Amino acid sequence: MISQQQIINWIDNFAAVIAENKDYLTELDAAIGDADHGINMNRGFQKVSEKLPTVIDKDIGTILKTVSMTLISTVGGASGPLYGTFFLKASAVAAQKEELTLEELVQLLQAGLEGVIYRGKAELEDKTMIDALSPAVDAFQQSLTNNDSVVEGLQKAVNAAEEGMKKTIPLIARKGRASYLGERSMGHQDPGATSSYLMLTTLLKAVREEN
Amino acid sequence: MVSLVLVSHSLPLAASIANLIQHIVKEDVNIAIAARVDDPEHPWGTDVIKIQQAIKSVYSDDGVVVLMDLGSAVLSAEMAIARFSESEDIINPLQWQQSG
Repeated sequence: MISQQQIINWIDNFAAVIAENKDYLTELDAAIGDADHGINMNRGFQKVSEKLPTVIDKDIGTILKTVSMTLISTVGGASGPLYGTFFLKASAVAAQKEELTLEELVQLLQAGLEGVIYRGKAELEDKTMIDALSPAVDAFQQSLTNNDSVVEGLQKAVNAAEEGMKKTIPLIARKGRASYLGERSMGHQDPGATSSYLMLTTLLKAVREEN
Repeated sequence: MVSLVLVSHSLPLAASIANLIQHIVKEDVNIAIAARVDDPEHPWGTDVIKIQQAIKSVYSDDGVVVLMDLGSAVLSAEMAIARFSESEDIINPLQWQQSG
């Protein structure tokens, strides 16, 4: 089972990891976007960190919904509605729940991914966060059928996300501002795929630490 | 009359456009602005909740046209409109498609 505390740790750690990687994410975005991904994500997640104590005794659905509402009103760039939708759809799976089974955690990430696809209308290999999230969710789902533990499943998800993130380097962007660059977007790693990879590594870390 | 919502990364840009429209159009147009985020150092961005409030503030049965500047403003506006259909608000999503 994944506890409410582990979910809080995940969000809290992710906020810290975003702060540490703020300049790195902005640097990646400077190459092919508008050089604000790190700044925007950090502004949003610092606000999330401030809000987290107010929902510390709430169910997982409420916590994730609070993350979503905070992001859509503070991030400012495309990552606001995209991550906001990820956490909104994830929150619906965790409504009223104090803990999650492995299956529910897989469903939660799947719902979040579907939300991002719906909101951003991106497909695989468009050089977006989908390129990290989608193979990760597939790998996590696959691990269910192997009867893997949560940690084993999430480790496979993180590996798949890392591979997907690196695969964005040679791609030509087809979504967002990077798509205006056409072939000049080749040779750069996508900042959204990178922050999505970081989100999954922090989830793995949070789940591993208390299990 | 149809109202306008201007969604922009920049408040001065949206304010100038609103100003120009008010000068050009003879009748009073209801215009609401949803621009910038609350960050003095990096104010450029759009806020889904602000857009939702802006739409609500000028809404009438004649409808609202939501105009956006760049990429993420479109995503933010789409999410703001989606939030009306998810909540128990006054707005019927079908009306939105007709007016939008």
